[in-house]
Amino acid sequence: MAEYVFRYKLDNNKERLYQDSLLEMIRAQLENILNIAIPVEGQREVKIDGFKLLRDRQRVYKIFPQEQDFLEERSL
Amino acid sequence: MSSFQDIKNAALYEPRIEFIKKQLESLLSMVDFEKDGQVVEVDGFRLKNLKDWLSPSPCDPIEVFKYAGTRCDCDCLFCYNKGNPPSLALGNLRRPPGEEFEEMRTRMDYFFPKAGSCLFPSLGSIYEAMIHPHFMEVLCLLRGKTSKAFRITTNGKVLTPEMISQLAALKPVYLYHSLNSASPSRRRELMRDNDPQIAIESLPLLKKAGIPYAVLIVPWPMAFIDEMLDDLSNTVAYANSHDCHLVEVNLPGYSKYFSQDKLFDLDEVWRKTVSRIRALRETTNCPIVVMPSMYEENLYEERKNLPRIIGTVRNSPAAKAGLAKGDKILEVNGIPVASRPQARDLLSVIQRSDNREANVTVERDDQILKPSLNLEDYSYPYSRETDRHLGIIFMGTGLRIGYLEELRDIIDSHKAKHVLFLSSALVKPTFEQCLEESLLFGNVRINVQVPRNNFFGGNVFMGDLLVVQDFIDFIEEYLEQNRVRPDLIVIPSSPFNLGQWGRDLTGRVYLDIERAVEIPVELLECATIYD
Repeated sequence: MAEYVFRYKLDNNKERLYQDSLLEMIRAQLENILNIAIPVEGQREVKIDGFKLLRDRQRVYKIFPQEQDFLEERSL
Repeated sequence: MSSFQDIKNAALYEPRIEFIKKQLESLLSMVDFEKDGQVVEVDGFRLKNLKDWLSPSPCDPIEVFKYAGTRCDCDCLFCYNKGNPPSLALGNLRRPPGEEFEEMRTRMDYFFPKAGSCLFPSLGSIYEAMIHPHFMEVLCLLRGKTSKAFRITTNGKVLTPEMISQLAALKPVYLYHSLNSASPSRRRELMRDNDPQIAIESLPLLKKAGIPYAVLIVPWPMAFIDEMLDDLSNTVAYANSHDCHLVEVNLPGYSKYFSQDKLFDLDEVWRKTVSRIRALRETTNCPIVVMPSMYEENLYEERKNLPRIIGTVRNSPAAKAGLAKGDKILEVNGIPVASRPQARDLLSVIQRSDNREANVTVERDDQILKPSLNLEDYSYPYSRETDRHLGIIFMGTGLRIGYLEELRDIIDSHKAKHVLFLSSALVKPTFEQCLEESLLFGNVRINVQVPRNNFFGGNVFMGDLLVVQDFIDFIEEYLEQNRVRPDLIVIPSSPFNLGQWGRDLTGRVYLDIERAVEIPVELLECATIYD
């Protein structure tokens, strides 16, 4: 008897904070990871809410947008 | 091919599946997948090797057979499933019974009681499992894998002599029988049961078959509260006359999705019901518990959390030793007992052991009694396999004193001085009593507050049904109204206890609370107290 197959549907999720698709991909993946794992430094839990790109360490990007953030980004 | 599973349901217990979904969606927004040079359009994914998806589990058989409960043959007036919010992760897939059976069979293949692991659970199903066409087949297969008791909740509509005979062959079995009323006309009206005699007449048959059962009653005020209370009394008397193991009275409530209108005065109905139950306990042999039990405790017990007995199971070692309603346990096998959870834990260890005897010291009125319990002297409806505390029934689980030590450790780790502790209306009095008597907190100020159940609404006020957004809304309102900003917020983990991943009933992670209010939020590990 064949095993039951556990299948899950993928959606075409359009909601995004950043219009830059590669930037949004990094943000979304970090957000997903931080919803199931907590980063630590040594033994100490580290709470993070943003990230920088190695090529431009001047600018900080948010990981967890509020609804207002979506509106602001869309209006840019 | 099998149907798609509900991702929100899976995410409560195994959010790594939702994580994979979101990662794939994120990647697919940027790239196409290929095979042999051709773009492959994908619209889903499947778990590859189920052995990778095992989780630690006590391996209760219900972990498998609960997936049979996808349909119902009653239509209860009070059915809480009618009041589930649309975003609740309780979506039931509509699948052919054969497909559901295939899932249960595969789950059985990965059900390892000795190793203590099974396939990741999901919320399962919440309707009547016994009407599933493959239910008995599943139980028979499961009996080959575990000797643990099958604890089955049923509306009793299919408890025919034949069904009871089949169940008896699979003992140990314990039934939670949602009888609700022993009056055919009222049961017909309450549950839309067109043949109420089957459920009502099943009680003597269960006794004859040696299957212990609890009778569940939701006292639902239809026209008159007094009529409801009289029916409650009659139903308890009927259950008692057929050696029911215990009666469990579930106080009624409803969400705003169930009804926008006020259907009854909750406080009046609850108070009158509890009052009637307390009177019934004086004349009834079988124990009667009221859920949530802390409501009764808050109403009647000046001192909370005591290991006081509210009843004993007929023919149990406790009953045969003469323990009785009102006794307060002082010691179990010589170990002093200070709280109800402690007494329950000690009795539970003895229940699972091979001991032949237990010694209990109790206070009755002003007397100290030291009865000895012969653990081999018992008969129906008590059984060693299905009972938990040698036949002693308490007023719920109570609050573990150890939680306070864990709370102190959390507060110490944050060096916090102003703590906002978010409790529930039911637990708060007991928690505050424990806090007042504790010497653990020095000059730390702990402000205990109770958020509202906005998400469920209606007259729901259970702490375990709060969701992330309820906490955020409450804390934001609290911060607006109070000048002293807490430096730490602590929330009991029980609203997030479905899995080990901190999800609420909508699948949202508790970490979102801290992200929104920008104050450290910690969960205090604790079990659900709805018992």
